[in-house]
Amino acid sequence: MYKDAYSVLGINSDATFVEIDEAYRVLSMKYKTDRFLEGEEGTLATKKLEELELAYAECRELAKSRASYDNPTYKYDAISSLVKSGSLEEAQKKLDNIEYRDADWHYYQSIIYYKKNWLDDSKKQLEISVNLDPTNQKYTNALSRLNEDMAKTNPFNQPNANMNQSNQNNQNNQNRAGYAQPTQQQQNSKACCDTCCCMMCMDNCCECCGGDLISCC
Amino acid sequence: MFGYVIPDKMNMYMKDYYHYRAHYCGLCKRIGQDCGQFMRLSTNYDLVFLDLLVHDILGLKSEYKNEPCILSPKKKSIAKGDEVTDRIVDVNTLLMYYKLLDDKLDSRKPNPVKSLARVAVVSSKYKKAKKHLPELDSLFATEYGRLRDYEKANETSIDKLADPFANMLRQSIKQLLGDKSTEAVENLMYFLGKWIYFIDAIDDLDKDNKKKEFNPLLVGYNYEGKDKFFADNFARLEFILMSSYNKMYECFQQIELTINEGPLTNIVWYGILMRSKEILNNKCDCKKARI
Repeated sequence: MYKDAYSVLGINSDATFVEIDEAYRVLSMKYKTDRFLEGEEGTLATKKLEELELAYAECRELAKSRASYDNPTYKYDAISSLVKSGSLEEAQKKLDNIEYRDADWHYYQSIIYYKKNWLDDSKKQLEISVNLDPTNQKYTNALSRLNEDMAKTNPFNQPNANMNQSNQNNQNNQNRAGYAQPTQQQQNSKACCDTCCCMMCMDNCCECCGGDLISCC
Repeated sequence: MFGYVIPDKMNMYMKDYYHYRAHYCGLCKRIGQDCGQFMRLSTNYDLVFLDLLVHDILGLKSEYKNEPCILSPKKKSIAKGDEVTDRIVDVNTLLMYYKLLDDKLDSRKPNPVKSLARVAVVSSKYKKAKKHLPELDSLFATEYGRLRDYEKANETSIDKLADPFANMLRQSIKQLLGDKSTEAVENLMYFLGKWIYFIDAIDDLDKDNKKKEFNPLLVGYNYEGKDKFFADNFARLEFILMSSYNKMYECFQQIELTINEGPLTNIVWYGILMRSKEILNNKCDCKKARI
């Protein structure tokens, strides 16, 4: 079975992750195009694509177990220290030297990108980590935090009134140069209309009870 | 590329509006004095933001005079400007020159003769600016080279592509502020540079697709019109603009301002947000904004 998986991809049994991925990429592009051909050719290409997917998964598993045997020490400690000390170039070089790209690898890549202020790339890497290991809360929480932080003053969110209040309590709620905070400003722009509607309702209720709150209405 | 960083005029105090306008007109006049009347066409709103920010952090209070101008025969208050303003004008000249040079070197541009002519006109002003700011000049040349390399390689990482321009703005303010520069201000300009790059890419989707020019959002995408593009990519577009805006907001909160705090707060808090909303709602007539 091992021999079959490698021969399907056309690689040696000691192929690196980069070689496995490249072989998969080339063959999958070919089969994905050929499966739309008419007749037997299309059917054969579809079958080969299925075989390829299984062989690719198997080869990667075998390479992973080879890698953990070869590198028993936890390699991310050094990278974590470099990131904390601000040596992002060094951290990136160390990360690039790690062949096996698991969820943890992408997680640390996202941290480096975040520190470089490359937020779109950071988010993409976190999404890959979550896809590779959806059960690991560390990645899911990090992604949620990133999305929340980057959407704090987003007018396209529709926060409910309670959530907005607690956010404001947590944030620096100070106005600046006479300007209200951006999220408050959007709320306040409706304040005038709300006040008038409220006054009209109160006047109507008052008149129903025999009084008159606003004499000219 | 320029003209996106504007105040939210409808939500601006009148005193801040007139203050802002005095600096805009002041810059226009100063460019005319330093670089000739033709270069006054390069006056842009982004430059006013830089001018207000730099003067505030350096603690320099502007003087004002009442003058008419070619577009407005009625006298109005205009900021006189100083040596710092001259350096800001130099930064603008350098940015303008390298942008035009990049257009000329970009073989995909349809009219290389027109691009060459523009570079030639700006060239003498550029030499003057280069003498005043040699380190920045060298940096701009390197960064534009880096950007061209990424474009030739059809780079897909929008962060990587925005990095050269963002870094140019960061280093510009570092140069202008000297010892008074802080990490918060530098990061503010870095994220502003990224935001400008992103919003320019989104705004130019139709134009770049039509003229087959490089646009990072179009790489590997079969473009069939802005509506469909927005429908397919809204979440990502929202993230790239709003994440930059939020980071700018955070940095801005760490900067102490006095003289020009009003207009600057309006621009960062409201103006940038307003522009982001307009672009994401596909309702931005951004290139034709008039304050």
